[in-house]
Amino acid sequence: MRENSSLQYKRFYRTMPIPASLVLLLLFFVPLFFTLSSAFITEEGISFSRVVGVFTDSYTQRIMLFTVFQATISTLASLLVALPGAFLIATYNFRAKRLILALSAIPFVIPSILVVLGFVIFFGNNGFLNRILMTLFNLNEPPLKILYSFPAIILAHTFYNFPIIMSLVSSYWEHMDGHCESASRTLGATKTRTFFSITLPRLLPAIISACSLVFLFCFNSFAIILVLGGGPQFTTMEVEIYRQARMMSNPGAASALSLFSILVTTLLLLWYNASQKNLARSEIYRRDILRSEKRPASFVGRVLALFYTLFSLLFILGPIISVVVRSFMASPSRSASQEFSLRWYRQLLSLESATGHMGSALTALTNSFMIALVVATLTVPVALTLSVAVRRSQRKTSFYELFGMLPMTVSSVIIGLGYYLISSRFRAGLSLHYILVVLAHMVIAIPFVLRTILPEYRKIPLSYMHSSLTLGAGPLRTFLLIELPLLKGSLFTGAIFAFALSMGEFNATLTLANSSIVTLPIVMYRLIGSYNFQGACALGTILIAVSVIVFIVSELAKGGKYGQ
Amino acid sequence: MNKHRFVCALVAILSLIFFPVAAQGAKAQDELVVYAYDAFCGDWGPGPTVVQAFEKQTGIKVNLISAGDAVSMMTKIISEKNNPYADVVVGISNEMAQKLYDAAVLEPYNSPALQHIPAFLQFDKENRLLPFDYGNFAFVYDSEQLQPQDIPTSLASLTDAKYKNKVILIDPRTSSVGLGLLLWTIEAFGEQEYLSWWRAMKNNALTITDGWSSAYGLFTEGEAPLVLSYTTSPVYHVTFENSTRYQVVLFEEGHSTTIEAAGILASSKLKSEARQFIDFLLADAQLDIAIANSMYPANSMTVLPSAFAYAPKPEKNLSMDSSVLAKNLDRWLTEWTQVMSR
Amino acid sequence: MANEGLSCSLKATYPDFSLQATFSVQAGELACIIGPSGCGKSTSLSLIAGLLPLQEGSLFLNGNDLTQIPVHKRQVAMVFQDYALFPHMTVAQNIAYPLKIRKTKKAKQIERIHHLLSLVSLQGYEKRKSQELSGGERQRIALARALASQPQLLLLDEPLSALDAKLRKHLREEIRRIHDETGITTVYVTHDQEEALAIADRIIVMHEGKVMQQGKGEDIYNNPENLFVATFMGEGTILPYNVIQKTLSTPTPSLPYAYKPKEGKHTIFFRPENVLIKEGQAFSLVEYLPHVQFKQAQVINCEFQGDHYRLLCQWEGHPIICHSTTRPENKEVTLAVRMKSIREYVDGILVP
Repeated sequence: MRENSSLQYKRFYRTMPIPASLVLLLLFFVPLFFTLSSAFITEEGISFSRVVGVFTDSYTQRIMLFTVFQATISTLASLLVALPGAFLIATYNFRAKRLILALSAIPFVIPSILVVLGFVIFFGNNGFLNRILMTLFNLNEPPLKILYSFPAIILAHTFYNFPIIMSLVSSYWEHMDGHCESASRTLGATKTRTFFSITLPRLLPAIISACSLVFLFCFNSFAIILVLGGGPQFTTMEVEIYRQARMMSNPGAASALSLFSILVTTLLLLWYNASQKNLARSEIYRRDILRSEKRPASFVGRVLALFYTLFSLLFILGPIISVVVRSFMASPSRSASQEFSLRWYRQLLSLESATGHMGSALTALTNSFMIALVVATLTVPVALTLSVAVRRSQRKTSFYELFGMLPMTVSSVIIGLGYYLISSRFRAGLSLHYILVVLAHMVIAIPFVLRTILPEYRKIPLSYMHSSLTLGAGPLRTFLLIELPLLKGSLFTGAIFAFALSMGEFNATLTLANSSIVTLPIVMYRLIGSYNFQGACALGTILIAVSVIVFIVSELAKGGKYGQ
Repeated sequence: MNKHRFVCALVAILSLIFFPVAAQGAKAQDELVVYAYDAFCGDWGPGPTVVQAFEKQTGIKVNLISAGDAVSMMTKIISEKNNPYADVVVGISNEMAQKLYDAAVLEPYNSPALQHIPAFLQFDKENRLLPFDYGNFAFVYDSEQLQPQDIPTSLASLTDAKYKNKVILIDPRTSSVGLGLLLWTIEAFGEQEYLSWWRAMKNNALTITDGWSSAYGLFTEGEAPLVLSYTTSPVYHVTFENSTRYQVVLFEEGHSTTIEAAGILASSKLKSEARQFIDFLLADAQLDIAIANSMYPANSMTVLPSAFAYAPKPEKNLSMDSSVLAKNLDRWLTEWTQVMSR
Repeated sequence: MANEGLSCSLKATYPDFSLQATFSVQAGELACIIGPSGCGKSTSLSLIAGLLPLQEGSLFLNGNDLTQIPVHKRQVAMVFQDYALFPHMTVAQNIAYPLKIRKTKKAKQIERIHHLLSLVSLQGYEKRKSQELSGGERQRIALARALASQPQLLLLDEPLSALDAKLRKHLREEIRRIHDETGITTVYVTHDQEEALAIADRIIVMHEGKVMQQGKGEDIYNNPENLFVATFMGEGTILPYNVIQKTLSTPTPSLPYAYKPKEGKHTIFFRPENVLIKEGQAFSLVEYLPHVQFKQAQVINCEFQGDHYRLLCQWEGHPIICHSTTRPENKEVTLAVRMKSIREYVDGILVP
């Protein structure tokens, strides 16, 4: 086999994924290995008994079934709600479009407790929605008792996740040409039939890839299910893992349980991966195809569009807006009515003397910001190098892609445990803790940045790279001069995402940082933990504001550069 | 744009390299290393004040390290058994102590301060763990949503039909407060009867949350008038919000007590300093701790601010031996889950 | 093995087909690789360029063994089917790309760009972006860019297949002209035989990974070595050999034709333009030369092609294609083909 010439390239491509691999190995796989291995270590030595025991226990099996069940229903519900929105966004051009897309990613970067709180503030029996309805219609009892039930879980998941499906599917739909649909109509099919027989199957790759992501999130969902579900009849695997790890200090059992989650989520990732490949291959879509950018023609169409927009804005933003509104309200005492006040913010900025934790809020804000900046700057090149390795991979499912996506699948409790077991082995000063926090954030951000970069990367035709090579540019030069500039947009979006994720990250930070490192979410949690919910809302609002700004900027950048 | 990115990356990498240079890695020779739980250590917890005062009084340098929450702290100490670092551990509660006893990492210490600490708080007869504060679990009610005649007077009365969807409970599998309630019911009703209380409460619970934060958040949002919390909760509202809206009612059965303790690690090389720290914790630091933690000081000589009048002290203090707990916890949690998930 | 030019023996196995092609191109020639889809022509180009690894065989360019050299050092430039113009660069920057790599001075770069743009008749296009260009313009810029790298070998992968017929004709002229001006050895892949015949110095016909014939266009067209090449490079009629028995007409016994049927599938083949049509009585010269005559052939179909009519006739169940300058008035015609224009094939291979 004469491979001498390709050997040179192999060397280049082999070194590319090394930085990412190092980070992931150190901060993900090694801790994971530590915790997982304890599943197999019992008093008798290494055995499968615990794992087998877990999987054969009928109680655990019921929980596994329920976890999968609620995730499936939630995903389907999100899909149903998202499709009309995707259609609207793909077909028509209206002002709120950019905004909706920008805001749709926000729930992901905000700590879940804020989302839960927001939900309660908005949808609760004593929440905004009910109170408004009660005053409007002069009722005594809150009319919408939706929370604390199974439907509430589905509702929360749907409203949390449907924007993701909507934005992913709509961006795919936008660039799909309408020829097949036109052909179908000329052959005599009605609009409905065309939609179900032609359009829907064509959209399938995008739908699958978006849904598998949503399924993953619902699968690992924790706080939402417990609080909004109303009781332990809705128990998921995560709760059991939590119980074993936290309450029983039994990492072995927790690890055995987490094997199930890891199995399901890995399968899901494989499926998601395969669908992503299809996405790039099945439809060769170019940026210059854009479906008609018109306003809805018929009156009915317009009304529907309006309704849908209001409806989705209300529900995407409702809980978040509630938190924001709450932060601007204070009362001189608990018994007096709430009125508009900037008290919490004044305390935040140390303009007013603060109670309890508020004093450190400013430090926390700065800390979070700095850490997020470093994380964003580092994650993007690391994820980029990993993408290069993925792109070059010959196999259908790239090993590196899976490697990079795995951190999304494992619960933070498990990883936290692992961090613990490792960090107990060595000591360090403050600086090392900072480094560990940055690295842990990177691990969490890498899958998301990878997910942003890879689709764009796959769209670059191989002929560009080949062309550059035949013109005399080596692989490194080709990468820097051709691939990199074309990926600019996705790199920027990825950086934004990494930034936002880092700002809102809580679990890993708490485990790795010693108490002198405070970040925004940590202070927020501490505020909540010491009765100061409104102060927490104020901090949450700042977090939300930062995310909003950051995402809007990224949407604008996307729109501007690629000329739609 | 490439160059810009390169420069950014370079700067970031350089700053990352710079950090270790500025790091102090090794343990300073005469520094007392104290592990405490997260809330204790931050500059809003009692830790910094206590440490500052201690250093001023004794001249001994203290390195206060946050080790997560109580559970994580315990895991950390046990996993460091062969590679010990800490001298003192602060914040182990009575329910979870058994694991530490089993790991045999603590050294007993008969502190002189113990004489001022009531017997019911000294849960470790061997004085490996010495109590520094305690709290009672209790139900807090919203005086604006409940009529005076509707205020419950006992755990048992909570199961009354008039409290349907009016009580916020916490899951014992995910929260130490929730666990506290579970143990409370076992202590009050015994192992045979406690499940029937829970069974009855299924109707009355608005929801069973994942942790105290969510539960109390729901409560203050007005979702329900009763929530599981501590007897000292009203103190915060009185002190910082000038409000007496949220009150605690004492139950006939008595209240479960959670006692927080500190101990010296057997592996410590600074035993004398460690002992001084414990003495300080149990005496001079008591007021700071009580106020910052919103808990009762273990030392009965401590004079508390007036707001603490709103934290009624129950007559009956229930508690459970940690060895009993360690033996049965898994079974109890499983039984509880089976009953509650139907 | 020629010392100059391209000489290759490409052997490679892939899941769906295997490639075993040996051919050579002389220095300065414009060679066309032609064949149906999936025959391996693009694969051959990729192997020559080095984008695919060559598992077995040899590859020599101007005496150098290319297999040891990585792609970017081979000095083999390639124009891809989608032109692969870099969208984030202007036309000038695209063309300057290989110049920058060779560290050409800025002034020289501008000069070269200007020169190349004139060469492809697109002067003044420096500042444009590829999205603004039409298909034909893009193709020429891609060509200019490839030429900027001053390659020893230029590869063109179906450069004209995305364009309309008129443009194709015009551009292939341009390509030939540019080739003549620069003198670079060029290999050009296409599936359009008209194109190949028109501009190539040498044609390499490929089918299912093998070279069926290589040589000058006239030779390939008039003396196809096998039936595949015969039918691929143009239209024609295939008939079983034994029809000669029935149809042979040798007016002058002094020019005999020996009827020799052979073992295997023995067939004859002739081009439609070599078929003479008689509606009336007299043929012309052909009457005096050995020929075959198909009497009472039915005209099934008649297509007007502009400069001639293409007729599909049926004779005793065999279809015969022929060209005519006038539209036939009768449905029945007599066709004649000179023996000189007929080629014999046994099992698809030419009988010399």
